[in-house]
Amino acid sequence: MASSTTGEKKILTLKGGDNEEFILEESLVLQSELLKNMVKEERVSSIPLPSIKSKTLVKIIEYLKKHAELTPSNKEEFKNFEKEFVNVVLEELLDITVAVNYLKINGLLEFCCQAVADRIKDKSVEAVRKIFRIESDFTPEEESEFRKETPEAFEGDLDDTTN
Amino acid sequence: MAMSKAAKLPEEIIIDILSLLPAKFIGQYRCVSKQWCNLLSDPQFIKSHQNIHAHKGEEKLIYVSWFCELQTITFNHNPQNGIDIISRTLNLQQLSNSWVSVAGSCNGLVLVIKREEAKYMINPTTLEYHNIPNFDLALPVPGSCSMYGFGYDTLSDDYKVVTLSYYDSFDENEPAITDTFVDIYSLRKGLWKRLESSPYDHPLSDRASGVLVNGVLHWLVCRTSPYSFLIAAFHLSDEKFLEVAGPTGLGSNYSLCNLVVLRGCLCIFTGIGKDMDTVTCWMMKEYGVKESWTKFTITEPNLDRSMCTLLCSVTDDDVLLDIDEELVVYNMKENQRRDLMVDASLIMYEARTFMDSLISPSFVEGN
Repeated sequence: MASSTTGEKKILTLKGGDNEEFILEESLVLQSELLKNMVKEERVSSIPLPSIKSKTLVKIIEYLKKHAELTPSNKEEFKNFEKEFVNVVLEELLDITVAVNYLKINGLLEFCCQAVADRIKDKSVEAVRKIFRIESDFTPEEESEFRKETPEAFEGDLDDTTN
Repeated sequence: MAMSKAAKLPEEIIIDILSLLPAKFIGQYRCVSKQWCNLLSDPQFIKSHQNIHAHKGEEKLIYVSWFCELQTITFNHNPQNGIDIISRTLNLQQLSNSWVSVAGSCNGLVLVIKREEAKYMINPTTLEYHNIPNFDLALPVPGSCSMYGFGYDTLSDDYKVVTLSYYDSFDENEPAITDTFVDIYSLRKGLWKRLESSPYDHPLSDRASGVLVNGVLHWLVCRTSPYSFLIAAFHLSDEKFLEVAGPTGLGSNYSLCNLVVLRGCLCIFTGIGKDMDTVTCWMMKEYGVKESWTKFTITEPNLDRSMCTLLCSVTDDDVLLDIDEELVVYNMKENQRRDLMVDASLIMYEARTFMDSLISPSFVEGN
């Protein structure tokens, strides 16, 4: 703490699930409520995050950097960055969402949830089960009964892909 | 369960994601699993879903067609910067198509009236419906006129249907009863009760249903002595009439006027203006503030000698008009009509806007 003077930035190491290390300025991780508390309370300089894949961590660090640079004048650019940020395969987007939830980066969590919702909204029930890795616990009879009862309130064809 | 490559989503995130899905997609996902079924049918989830989507402003229109069917209209913005209108006929299982009018709308629930004043609460998104029983004290049909209102009372967390009714035929040998009876039905309690009679005269017109703004139902009414027009405001919480000051510029004759909600604001408009090709509309930009009434006009050669009704706002600058039973979208910024792809059949009586929601029309205690 005493060593940190103005101009000299504190450095922190994040360790991803595959033991890859990421060195970044401490100020960046303060956007994460979880890391902020760890840094503030325990004064650590290296934080292991074994549940987060390195690939996911790279994406999140990229976001933290961009978000830290956000000013009123580059709002448009940031919006475009956000759009590109979630333009990944659905499985990767879900990984990011889970990690962001764990790290408690609130603004980004909302954005990721909206992105997932936009991606799954016209998926078929089967596709949704695959995406969320849920096994149906309805018997085939129950399910067909259910579908009969649920009136056709939906418009358009449903998408079976899980991407 | 076998772990695969991707991380498994905790339930709280699944709830967050599903709350962001438009209501029309939710129904089918109830059969994903028993857990999802419980989750998506949970009144708490339905309520928070409604709160999230209430402010998104994606309004649709519902009306009764010439064939006494219920139809909805969805507005879609096309890449050519135009607006497509997509109409759809609602198919409510087991209910015949003998609809008379759409009498109110709130949080995705719509009050619709069938022949013989039969009242149904429907959710046009989930296609659930619920019959509202007749009140024992309801006036006989035929022999009386009724007007309706429907809204949500935040204080008691209850949906309420209001009927205003009076006898329209009198037996010469009996003393005339000129009261306008005010009856109110609580969806939560499933009960009717009669309130004090209305202090006003309620002229019956084609568009006589209460207009809901800020949780208050509005009707154009008259006071008998001295004879004058005003906007009566029925508050659903204390179940009493108050008055809303109208625009000064309108003068005192509201007889050719109608109320409508545009962009969430109470508006009053004249179907036929002094100049025959102009519709004049006042918008109360800040509810309850008399000084906030703002006038705007819609001038359109097609309006000449036509009956014109403002139906709803489509975007911030576009309004939907019914001009002699033709649908027209008018852009107020450019002061001109837009080209429309309309496949809707003609509108009859009242049209109402509604938003997709999951709220159940059979709203009962504990729901």
